[in-house]
Amino acid sequence: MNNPYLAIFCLFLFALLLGVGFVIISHFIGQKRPSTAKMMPYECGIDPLGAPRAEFSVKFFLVAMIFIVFDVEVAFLFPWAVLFKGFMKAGLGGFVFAEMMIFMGILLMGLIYVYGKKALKWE
Amino acid sequence: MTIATDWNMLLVKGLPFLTLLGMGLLLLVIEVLWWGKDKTIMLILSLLAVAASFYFAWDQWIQNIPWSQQLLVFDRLSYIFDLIFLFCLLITLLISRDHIKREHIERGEYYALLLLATVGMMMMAHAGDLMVLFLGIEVMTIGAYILAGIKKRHSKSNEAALKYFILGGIAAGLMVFGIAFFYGATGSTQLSILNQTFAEVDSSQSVLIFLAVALILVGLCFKIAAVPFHFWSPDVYEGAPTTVTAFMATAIKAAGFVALFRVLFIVISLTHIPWVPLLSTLSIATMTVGNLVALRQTNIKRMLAYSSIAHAGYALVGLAAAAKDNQLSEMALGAIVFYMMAYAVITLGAFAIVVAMGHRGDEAEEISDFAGLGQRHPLLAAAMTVFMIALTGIPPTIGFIGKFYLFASAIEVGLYTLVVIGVLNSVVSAYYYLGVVMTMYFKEGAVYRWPPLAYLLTTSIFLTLLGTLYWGVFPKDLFLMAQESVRQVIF
Amino acid sequence: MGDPIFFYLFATIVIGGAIGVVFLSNPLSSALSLIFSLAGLAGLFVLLQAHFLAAIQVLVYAGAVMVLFIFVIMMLNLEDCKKHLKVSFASLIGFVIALNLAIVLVMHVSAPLFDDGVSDKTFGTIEGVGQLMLTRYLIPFEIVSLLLTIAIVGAVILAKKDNPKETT
Repeated sequence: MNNPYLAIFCLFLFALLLGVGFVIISHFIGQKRPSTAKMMPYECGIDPLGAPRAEFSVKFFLVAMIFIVFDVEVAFLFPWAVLFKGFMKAGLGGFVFAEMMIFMGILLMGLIYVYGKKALKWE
Repeated sequence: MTIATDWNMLLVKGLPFLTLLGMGLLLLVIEVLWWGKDKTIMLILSLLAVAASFYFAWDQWIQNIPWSQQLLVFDRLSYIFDLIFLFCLLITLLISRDHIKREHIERGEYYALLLLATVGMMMMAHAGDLMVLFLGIEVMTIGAYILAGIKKRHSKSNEAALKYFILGGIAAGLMVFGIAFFYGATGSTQLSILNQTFAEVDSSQSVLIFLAVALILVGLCFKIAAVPFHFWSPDVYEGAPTTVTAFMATAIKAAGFVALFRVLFIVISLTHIPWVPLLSTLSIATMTVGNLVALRQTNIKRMLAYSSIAHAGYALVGLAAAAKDNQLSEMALGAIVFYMMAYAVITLGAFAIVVAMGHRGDEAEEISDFAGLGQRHPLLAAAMTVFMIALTGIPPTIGFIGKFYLFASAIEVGLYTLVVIGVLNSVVSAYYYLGVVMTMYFKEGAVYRWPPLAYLLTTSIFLTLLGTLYWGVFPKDLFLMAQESVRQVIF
Repeated sequence: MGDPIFFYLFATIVIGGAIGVVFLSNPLSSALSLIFSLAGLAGLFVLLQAHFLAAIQVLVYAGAVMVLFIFVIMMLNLEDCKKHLKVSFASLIGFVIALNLAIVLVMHVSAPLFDDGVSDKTFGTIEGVGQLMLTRYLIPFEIVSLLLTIAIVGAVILAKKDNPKETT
């Protein structure tokens, strides 16, 4: 059994067992004595009205979207960073560097735009 | 791995889109750094970029030195489409200013997105690799999604953006699927390599390639709004700001056709695909559905949307004619290029008038809003009449010449049925195009205070009117230009 | 990767997840089901020796994009929706076409599945992808940055509340 993926597989299996196991164990060991007062979100104060899930502000969404775009940018940076030394040895360092600078430069305009629009500001 | 490309050459050849790219990005920065509230500077800068880009593309078209960089190709076909996109962009910019002011969407991003979407279209025109083609389509359409939904407070604009986005996303997904099949069958996405490998395709791969072609065609038919992939277009055209609609109806349609060309040049040699019946059916369905549904429209933007579907159908007549004998014939392709120019000029003119009709709080989008225009503003009514008869295809307009060349190329290869159906469709279309003219001259309208035609709008109406009539009478130069453009196509 | 059992395992996860997305009634459950599907896809990429792609798949799709999905679901505060299976003419045609596509794919494309068909061992690794991306596919790589920039602009235009002073 020399499969290199075996370790990863074991890791996943272990994580799964741990997660599911704890839920199952607490289900069997834990004591449950539900009563009306206990099942309510608040034990004192005004009885809740309407749906418990509150609506989410669109602001979170905007930040998340901007995050994803730059997340993808970083994904493109990985191979570049890994290969840069190799390219340097092949005498293409400057070229590959310029390439990434153009890539980042175009995205920098986007970043300036985001800053200027105060899209990252939490009002 | 070495990188074998002449970068100076690429820089010079790519100037048309590099100019627009640079200016588009610059506009984004200016938008946030500019202290003044007046956005006129943005319009001026955009127009400057268009002018420069137009000059570079024109210069390259004249020089005519085809060059391929594997991923990007530079030939006359790509440059003529660059010029078409730039013309559409120019007119769109000219008609935009007043419209976006009164719709409260005058923001720098509007101009920037128009420019950057055009860069995407140019990538499609220059694509030498399916990857570049796909990315070009995405740059173009993502820009268009945003522009369609830029009127954030209007539910129709939101609807337009959402519909366009969801259906466009599905179409893009199908197309990527197709490209993946191409890669699976041949091991490459580069068009020139595909062209060589198709000769030695064995039968086990032919199904894969068939699927790939089908899926890519579906994706592209969505872009040109060919039936049955047209359902998005009326709602999107109606909901988007009128200027954006004008841009979508002309530039994006032309971009869809150039992408079709680029793919068809390669796959046309596949003998196991029945090209002529396939394209003929598509064409007949597109013209007929477009025209018949257009008859019932009361909204001018929806009417023009269905009319644009029908016109895609006419252009597909040319494509069916071109596809005869498994090689694309020059004459029919030239006719399509000419038709794209003709259609762009006329439609932009018609949309310019729709924009000119509206004023704050009332966009005058119903056909009945045109009632009595003949008395109120005879010049505007006369211009609209010219555009409507040009769309019908009546001489002496460019619309007639365009259709004439298309149908002539189809007769040349013996597709008589297709031509008969095309002519019948043109007759049907006369009913709703001339209906607008009737409304203008023979119906009493409510007393409107006609908005003063701003000089930019006047300029754009004048330019398109001039184009429609001048090239309608003297089409030779333009037609030769279109023919020249398809003569030396490289991959 | 000779062992087809892993392929079937991951394929089951992908398809099962996808079916769950369509048929689960709670939108959040649908989203979680989609995460399973995407993770299974990452497993398939690993089988194809595309480790870099698998990592990106988990990071970007199963991670970041799914966060967006869940944000949207929470933002809209969706109730459980009742799925009503209505057989209309259009859905019937769609089903027939999809089935047809599936049959064609199964009949003709199944043969090469268990042969990774890649002679170059660096293909799909981070070095292989980077090598191609930074040399041969340089231009698409640069276009991607433009695409991302447009996406940012779109996000800001459509999702950001206008400054009340600006909308006069």
